[in-house]
Amino acid sequence: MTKAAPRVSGGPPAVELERQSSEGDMSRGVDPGAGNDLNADGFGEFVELRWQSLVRFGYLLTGDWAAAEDLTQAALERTWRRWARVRVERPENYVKAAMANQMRSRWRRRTVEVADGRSRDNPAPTDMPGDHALREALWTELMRLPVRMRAVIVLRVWEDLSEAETARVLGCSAGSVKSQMSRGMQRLRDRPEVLEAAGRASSKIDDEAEVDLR
Amino acid sequence: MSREKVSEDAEFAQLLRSVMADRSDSAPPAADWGPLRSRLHELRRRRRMRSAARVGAGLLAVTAVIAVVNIQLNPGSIEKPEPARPSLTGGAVRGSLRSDSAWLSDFRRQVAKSVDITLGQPDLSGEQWSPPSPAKVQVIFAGDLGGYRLALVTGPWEEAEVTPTPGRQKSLDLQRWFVGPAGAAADDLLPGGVTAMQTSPTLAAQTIQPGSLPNSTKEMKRTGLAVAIVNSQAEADAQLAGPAAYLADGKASLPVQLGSIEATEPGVYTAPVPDDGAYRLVVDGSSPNAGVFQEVHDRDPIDLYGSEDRIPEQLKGKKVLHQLVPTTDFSRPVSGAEPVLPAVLKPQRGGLTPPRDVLRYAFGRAVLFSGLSARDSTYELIFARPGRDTGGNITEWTVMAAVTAPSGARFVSVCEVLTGGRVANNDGVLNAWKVVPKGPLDSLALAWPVSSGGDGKTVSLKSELIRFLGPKGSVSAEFLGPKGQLVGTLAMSGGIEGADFDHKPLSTVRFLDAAGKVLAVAPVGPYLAADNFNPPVMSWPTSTG
Repeated sequence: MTKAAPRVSGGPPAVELERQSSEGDMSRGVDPGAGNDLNADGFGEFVELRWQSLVRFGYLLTGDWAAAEDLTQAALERTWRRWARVRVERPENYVKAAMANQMRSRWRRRTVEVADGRSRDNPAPTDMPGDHALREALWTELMRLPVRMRAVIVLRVWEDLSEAETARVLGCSAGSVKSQMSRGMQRLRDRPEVLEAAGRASSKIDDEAEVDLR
Repeated sequence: MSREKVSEDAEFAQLLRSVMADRSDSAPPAADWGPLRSRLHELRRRRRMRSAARVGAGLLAVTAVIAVVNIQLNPGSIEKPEPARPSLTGGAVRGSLRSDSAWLSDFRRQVAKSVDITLGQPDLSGEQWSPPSPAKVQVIFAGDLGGYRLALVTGPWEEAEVTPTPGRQKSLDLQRWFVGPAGAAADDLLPGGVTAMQTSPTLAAQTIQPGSLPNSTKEMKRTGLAVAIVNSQAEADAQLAGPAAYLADGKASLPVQLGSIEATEPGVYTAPVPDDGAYRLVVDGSSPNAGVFQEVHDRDPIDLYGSEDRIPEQLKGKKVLHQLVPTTDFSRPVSGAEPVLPAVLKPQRGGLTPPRDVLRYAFGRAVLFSGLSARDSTYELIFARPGRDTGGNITEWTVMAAVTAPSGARFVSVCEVLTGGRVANNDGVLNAWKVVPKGPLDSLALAWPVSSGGDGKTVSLKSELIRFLGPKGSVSAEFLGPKGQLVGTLAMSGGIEGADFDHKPLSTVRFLDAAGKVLAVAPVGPYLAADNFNPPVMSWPTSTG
């Protein structure tokens, strides 16, 4: 907590305030939220427990860690407003719904750049080059899907939610989830980049198999 | 991996999951609750500021803004109620189109078809409001005035919540303006200003700045329009005032240049708005539309709701669902009030030079807020600094700008501007202002809270975050509470700085040099809840010459 500080005459006074670590942040201070209801009713505990899961979900929606954190924070702020109601339900789903829907809102559309899949510096050790290309192509194409469609796929594939659960999170019908999922997966499969990468991966496997045979 | 394998759903999903796992395996570390809590507070602050700048969340804010003007223009009349005029509603249609039943019928249908408006930030709770049915659209005014075709309607706008919340208001009677060129067809009028009937049941007013409509004619680019409507059984003292005049000693006035607005018919007052400054309509001593701002998003409701499945039942089946409506803010000066900035603007007190569009935004806000004539003013950049990237390459700039009147007095303001990413038009708020007499800016001292802790009408004493700029030569700042007690002391490194006092009440900041001498004392404030736009000159006595 900030305390009154006697000024030291003849030189810079004692500084009782700590500088925030964020680059470019002009604010200085200590414990700004202390005493605020951010800590009430387990909200802080919930955030600490679920932060990584939420940000990871955000990353799968946005393809960008900074945007994912931004999206998560914005959704948490909205959740905080309604925490008394949300906490008795399934708060993580509420936050994820907020994140998915926030991606569609005007503000989020303006502030979140959906990153194109960037090539990672190093492929996963288990990847063969052809397989790596396919995985890169899939990621890139996933990021190019409409946000709603991508959210359905992420919830179904990554979060392993059922159609009904996904529908509840996104506030739409199970039929819509089913159709979005089907269309999304089809679009991923049919993208020329994916087909091409799949072809290369297949050729690579075949080539290596031939080598092995020899 | 083969094409055949890729085509199999389960395996494809497994592959996709593996890709997702691989790509997201470098998740950030667990939440550091301290900084995250600060960030959530900051997000709340920004949301509130943005909301206050929009009419929905700003419905109360509009009341507050009007109250401020009344308070300041009429000292001692804080509780002064709106004049006891009869309600605007319930009477016959006013205006030259009153007898054109075909046009009025088309127009009512058009209003009912117009895309729903977003009052405040769209979020999960839904803050979208859909228009009334044609039968419930009451036309208060429809006609041609000064090269414009205007229509004013009222009716019950229905809240279209995505996630219904018990106890929330479902219907709201709004006044809404529609504007186009004189003679326009009903569907060529663009929706504009919005006010809650409960906020102003007896008066409607709108200022249309020159060239503010996308379909502006030459005449509309040259001249805007101010219009006030009251019940024909009542009278109003309507005047157009501006641009502001600042004397060298920093005193300002908002002269009434054009005299009283003449009524074109009982209850309807109108005057042309020149394009050389931010003119204000003053009705019965207050500026009824000074705080009115609305936003019509240029998107369709499917985008609002995410998918067709989420569109509320009452909106389904309407053609409006696919209609795009351009954003229209009639009150925003767009031509004559644009500042003419010098080619090079370097910050005098340190920091960086922002991109040109950020400068235009910050100085544009300063001009608008000051009420000064853009053409007759000169412009200086005092300080600018980019904040942290808020994600998606969005940067928040803090820009301290000075608009100098011909007398040499300066209107100094601080604007936070969001830019970058997909921000098509910069967004921001004007946080603080001060009028500085003619002379060097070395002694400029300013401190302002950037969080609302007050009631929107007065300077907030409780604030989460204080920003400040001290005079040249100051090396430390002492923060004092309302009783003069020392709350905290901070070493300064130059430029605009910030401090967080965890809601502790603050009233003043003392800036000291290296020898401990007090160089300046600045009050903490004012905090301005919105960037729309109650010119400070409105808060001082006006000369009516």
